[in-house]
Amino acid sequence: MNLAKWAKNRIEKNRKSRRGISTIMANLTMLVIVVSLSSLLFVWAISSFGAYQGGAGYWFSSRSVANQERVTVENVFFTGSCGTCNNIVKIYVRNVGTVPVTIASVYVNASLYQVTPQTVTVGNVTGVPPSGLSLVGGQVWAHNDIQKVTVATTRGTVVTTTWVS
Amino acid sequence: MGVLTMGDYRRFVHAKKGMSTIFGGLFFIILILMGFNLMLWGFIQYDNYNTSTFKMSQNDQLATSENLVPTNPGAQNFSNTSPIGFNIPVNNLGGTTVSIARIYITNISPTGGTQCTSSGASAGPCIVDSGAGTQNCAGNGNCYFTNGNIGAGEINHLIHVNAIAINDGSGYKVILSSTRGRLFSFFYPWPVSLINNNPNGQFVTNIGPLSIYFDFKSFNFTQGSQTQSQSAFCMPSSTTAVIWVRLANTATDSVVTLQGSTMMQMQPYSANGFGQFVRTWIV
Repeated sequence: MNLAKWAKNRIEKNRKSRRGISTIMANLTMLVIVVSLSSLLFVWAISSFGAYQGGAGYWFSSRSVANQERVTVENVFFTGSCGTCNNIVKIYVRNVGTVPVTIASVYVNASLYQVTPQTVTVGNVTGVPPSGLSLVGGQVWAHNDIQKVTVATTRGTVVTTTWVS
Repeated sequence: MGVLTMGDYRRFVHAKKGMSTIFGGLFFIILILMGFNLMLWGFIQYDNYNTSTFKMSQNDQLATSENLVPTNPGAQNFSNTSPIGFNIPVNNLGGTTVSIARIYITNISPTGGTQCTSSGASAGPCIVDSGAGTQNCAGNGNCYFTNGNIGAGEINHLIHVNAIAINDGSGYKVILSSTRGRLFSFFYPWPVSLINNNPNGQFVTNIGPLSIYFDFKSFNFTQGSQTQSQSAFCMPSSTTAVIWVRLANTATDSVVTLQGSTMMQMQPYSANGFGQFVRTWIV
């Protein structure tokens, strides 16, 4: 048997051989599974880390700034639009924190007053609202009553003080 | 040794063994580095947050350690001619310097005039700022104060208020507002202090945070041939009298309200009047 005949027979045998196919298929299947799961893990990790950084970053930055807010109600003056009308409250708010604050709302006792947002820079004082707060719904203040005045900022800082009218 | 031969190079180029391990390792190293980076980022954020919290906590501590005490008589050295003004004596008993940011003067008993009321020149409380002032509070030009920085431990420091005087007979509530947000207030004229005049005749009744001061030696009277005042709660009948009761709210966090059912009861001390009561109700 010459060399050419031996090679032809060998090729024919190899072509018809089925041995080893299942191993290759298994390896290929495992490869596909590993690659796909790894890709999923990678994508999930990227998105999770990104979401965590976004949420935590916003929380840290917003709370950090809000934590630097300090407002104080320096004085409350009770007056009226006429001689006997006890219906106006002048509230003086000072920013004693380290960041500018924006006054969003004022509560007098249990009543909410949505005031025009006023930004108070560091160290400054403002009247909230500048012309005085007109009590609504026929409310009036009475002499020697305790009035609870609450001031809230847009970042969620709330300061409650009590005054005798 | 140390020379890469052509055979070694060929073996290296054609070698496939371990490549998946290397790629897998790199993949996990990348993931671990990403996690480490995230941890570092979290630490930095948390550190920044803690820094701001600590800084504000220090500010709060400083504000809490402010203890400015206006002293008797509250306002003094009045000048009712130009330059109009007066001094406010204060003691700084706290542990830090206090800077006054603004003084609010409110006329709550306008018997001597209408300044610092809604019908006065200020149309509200008199606002006294530092520097050149911001409000012509009494019609004498802008009200302002000087000498508003009080060092720790300073006694009888005088804060000078310009362009307003409050010795017109009205009752004024004066609020000193510090730059750290603390408020220190007093009433002028200074309330009558019975305790200081007769330290041996005083006693205090405490009801919750409310302290009621009595000084029985201040209720003096003489009878018949007596030439020396007697200490007693008794007083002649049919005589108009004003009785002062000194109250102090010793709470640091709340307001005390006397209810409508609160009263003072007085009993005549005589044969005809014994057992009869005169009650004064708080309204």
